[in-house]
Amino acid sequence: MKKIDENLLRKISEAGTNNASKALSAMTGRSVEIKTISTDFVPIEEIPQFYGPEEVVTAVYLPITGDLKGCSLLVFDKDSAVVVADLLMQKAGVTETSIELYGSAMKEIGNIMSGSFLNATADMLDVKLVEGIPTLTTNMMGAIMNQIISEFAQTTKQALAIEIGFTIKDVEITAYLFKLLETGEGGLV
Amino acid sequence: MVDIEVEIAHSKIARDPDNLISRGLGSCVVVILYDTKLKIGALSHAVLPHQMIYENQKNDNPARFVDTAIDDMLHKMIAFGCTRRNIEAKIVGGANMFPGVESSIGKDNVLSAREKLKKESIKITGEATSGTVGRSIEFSTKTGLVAVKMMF
Repeated sequence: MKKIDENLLRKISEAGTNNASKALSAMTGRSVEIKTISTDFVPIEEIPQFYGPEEVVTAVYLPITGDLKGCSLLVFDKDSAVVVADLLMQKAGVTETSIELYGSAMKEIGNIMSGSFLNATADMLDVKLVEGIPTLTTNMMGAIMNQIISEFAQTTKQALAIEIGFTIKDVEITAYLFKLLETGEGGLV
Repeated sequence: MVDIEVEIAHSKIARDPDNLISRGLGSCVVVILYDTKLKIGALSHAVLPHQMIYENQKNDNPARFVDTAIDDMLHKMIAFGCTRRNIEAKIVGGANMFPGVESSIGKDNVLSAREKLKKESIKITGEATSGTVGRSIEFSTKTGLVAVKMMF
């Protein structure tokens, strides 16, 4: 297993966003451009600060298993989530969207974003990583992180925080993808 | 009157007329202890139910665990002149943000708080726990009241 340094991080982010752009464009039949705005390692207890602990966000959670255990969390603020789901589903011929459809759309987006980054990470680090089923929640950011911190605080000190910019039909939206992977002896982080 | 924010895995003590605030509570449990005569209150925002020993971790933060957080708050309050007999408790939190994902951490936290408070013979006079929605709370040492904010 290789250690992550800035160079590797950049490569992983680029590969991740490229894969995700292609996948989302193919899925929706619409041009979706995704780029990495920034990447950073942050202590997991500081994650709520990206949005504010009380800010209501829509988040997709995916567990990760395989050679390393952890999770992915794709977070949009609640208004952006609706805009993204809408934009992506319009082309699919859906003109009136129900809450359930938003939910499905968000989970699929989570799957694709997380999957793209996960594959890039697995390739570059030469490890096997498997993604689980996505769960959706719309809740206060701090509350969401409470639970993740409880589950992972013992094995994971830091998370990868990737600020992502989506450009869909001239609309720009920012979201965050957080990846937590247990650090272990090898010292991933 | 000052608003004192208590972050995850922290614990703070305050007296009339200050407020103790904790925002974005999910599976964590906030335990508030309040001496009704002296109007001194303590709030801890704990993450895990019991102190656990991990090989490569020094557990030097009592506020992280529900049971040690309660111990710590009691010690500090008594040092400030509080009397056990006058102390009451309120608990908030212990929700599950991801129903469907196997996780009992919220429930376990609430259980630990109840057990510990019972052991210390401290009465729970109010609670807002469990469910699937995050909460923010504001505790007034002036009135002894807890205001809870939820969005769903």
